[in-house]
Amino acid sequence: MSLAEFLSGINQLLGTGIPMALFSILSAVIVLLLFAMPVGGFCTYLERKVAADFQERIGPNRVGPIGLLQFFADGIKMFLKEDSISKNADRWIYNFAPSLVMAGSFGAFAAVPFSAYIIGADLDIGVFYAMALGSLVSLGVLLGAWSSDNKWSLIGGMRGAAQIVSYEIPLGLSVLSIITVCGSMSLHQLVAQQAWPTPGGEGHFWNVFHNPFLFVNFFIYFTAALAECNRTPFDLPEAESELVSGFNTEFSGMRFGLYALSEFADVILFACIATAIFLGGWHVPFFNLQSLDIGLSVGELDLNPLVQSVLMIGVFLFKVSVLVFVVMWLRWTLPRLRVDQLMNLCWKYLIPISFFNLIGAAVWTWAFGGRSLLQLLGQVLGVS
Amino acid sequence: MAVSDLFVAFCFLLGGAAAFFTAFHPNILYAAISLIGSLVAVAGLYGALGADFLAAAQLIIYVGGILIVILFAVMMSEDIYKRRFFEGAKKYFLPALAAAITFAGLVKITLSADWSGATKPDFEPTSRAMGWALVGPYALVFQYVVVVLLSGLIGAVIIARPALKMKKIDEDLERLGED
Amino acid sequence: MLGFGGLKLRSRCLLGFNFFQRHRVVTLETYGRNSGMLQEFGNALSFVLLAAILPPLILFIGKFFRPSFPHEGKLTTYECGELPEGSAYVMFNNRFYLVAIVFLVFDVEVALLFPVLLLFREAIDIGGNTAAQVFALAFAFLGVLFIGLVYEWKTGDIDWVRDAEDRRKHLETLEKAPQ
Repeated sequence: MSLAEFLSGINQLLGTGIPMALFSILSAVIVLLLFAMPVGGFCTYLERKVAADFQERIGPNRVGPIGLLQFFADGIKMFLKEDSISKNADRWIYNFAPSLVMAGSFGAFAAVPFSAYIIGADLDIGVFYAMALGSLVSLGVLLGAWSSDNKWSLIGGMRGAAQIVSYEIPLGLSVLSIITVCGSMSLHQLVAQQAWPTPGGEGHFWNVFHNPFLFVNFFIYFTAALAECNRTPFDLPEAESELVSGFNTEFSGMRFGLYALSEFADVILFACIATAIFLGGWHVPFFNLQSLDIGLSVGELDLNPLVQSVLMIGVFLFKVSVLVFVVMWLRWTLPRLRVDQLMNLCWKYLIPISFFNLIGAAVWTWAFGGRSLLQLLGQVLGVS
Repeated sequence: MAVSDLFVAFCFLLGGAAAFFTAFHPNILYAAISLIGSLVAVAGLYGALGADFLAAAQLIIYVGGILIVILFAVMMSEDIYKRRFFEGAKKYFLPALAAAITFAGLVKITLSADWSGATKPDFEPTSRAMGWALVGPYALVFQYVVVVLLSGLIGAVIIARPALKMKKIDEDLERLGED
Repeated sequence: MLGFGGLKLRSRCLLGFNFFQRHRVVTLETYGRNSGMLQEFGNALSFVLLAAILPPLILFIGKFFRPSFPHEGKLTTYECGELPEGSAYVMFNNRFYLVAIVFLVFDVEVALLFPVLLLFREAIDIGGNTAAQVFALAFAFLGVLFIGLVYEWKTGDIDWVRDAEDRRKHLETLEKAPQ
């Protein structure tokens, strides 16, 4: 059940006959323009505020109450700035690169399951789709950097591409362990399986607590995702103290804004995917939101799905924002890695550990028939 | 005309145009970048035929992997950006011949194939069927792939090693000179 | 397609190939029904296309609002205030290339393992030695490549600063050697 169908369901009640394809586009507009872009923009404000708190400063506080509208002002400012393109730049690629980055980071939002009923596109290969689109980002970073004809950009771009592709392996392996345990790639189904375990129910609670191997893999996923989004301690592609601004040095005004936006969108996206596959999506402990029944209806229309959706989106976004906060926290906690340390961490630590965890997760699934630690505990205690 | 038919037509056009640029663009970097169009168009066609997993795998392996390798190779070759590879029609003779023979072969296969059993795609998830095929009838192929991958992995580092060693020796000599 | 062991395809109502046809009646009571994969492809495609169109669109709209005062100094490449020295297109450390190739091998591996390990739960449910078969095939595949990784680890080919490391050792031996 995708957002487009949700919308068309409402449309059917109103009795207007609008073709389905328009609802696809409408759902994309809603998720991207009304969720991803504003939230990505808001993250720039949040980052400054969090940084200020860590450094005991006040941070942005002029635009709106406690500076809440700062990102709006920033957006307008960037929109109105001159678009200065260096004369040596390769204009074709220079103009094309931001589209690739945006398509990679924003396009993957289609697979994010915000609630049991609201998902951009309920693809059977959901996680794999998000990973596939992520590979466009590395291409966009590399091409944008190359096209600027700037040494800083080029070093940043090369580092960025090498880093993003390297960390895709531990990322893929930790996602694979989830696939092995749950037996599905659809994000919708993966979330549905993580309900609070009830006697005879399907749920096995959050994947991160499913078994010790997945618990470790969550941290591997998180570390690899940090590297994929070029966040500290993996911000070598744009190491501002050594490379000016890295791969986006030559991008000015709104072009820079688009890069910055898609970077924050990437952070949010990875937080969303991590929430969906490891942290149970919209599931809360002790209670299944989907079984909530308020017993209200307007005419023929059952209001339960709507009320549940609001709650589910709330829970989902809460988990996402906790993860995003941790990402920002890490920026002011950890120093940047060197290139060789970066590669060592990936090839000598993360990949072997995730290899081992993948095998461990498979053995656990085999030995206990896919039951989680919590379910086994329940069995031992005789609860279910 | 349905939207999906339009999409298929768009993929054909995009793939064809990109392939043309790849073959004939005088700048090798642009030729490499044009490949994005071909590869994405092929992924789109897979999607339009209902092969969801294949479409995503096409993006992951070709766009995110092979294309990055090609671009790195182009970008790390000296002065390749300024060099023009458009000198005379002679260069195109053999490749054109090879392409023509391949194309003729493909046309022959297409015309001689029995298409009566072909149906419109039924748009069911394909990844499970693929998995069962990989552990069932194609298990040997699946294991063969890993041998090819392993040889590629080891071959790559062995080929790259002399170049790196040479550089090391150069640097050592330079440093010894400084002492 | 249905021949491979315990293949269970989920039944879904299909929208068919015609994308623009009026959607069947969906009221809010029929949540959870899936109207077919093609519809989902369409949804995903509209996300990707919208995301790809946004940057040019925003920049185009901005064109009517932003100033444009190009100036020789503004248009030069930024090199921290100095006049730019030569082109940026110089040959690069080919370690990046090696990383890309090694990545490619592991990328193909991960992509191929997705459909196989997807079956693992199902194989356990089927019983018999299906699970053992899937497990053996998948982890033989993983294991062989892991051997490749161990080989590279031992030979030091995946070390980023192998040269520097070697030079340091070389220096140490030089210092220890009697002058």
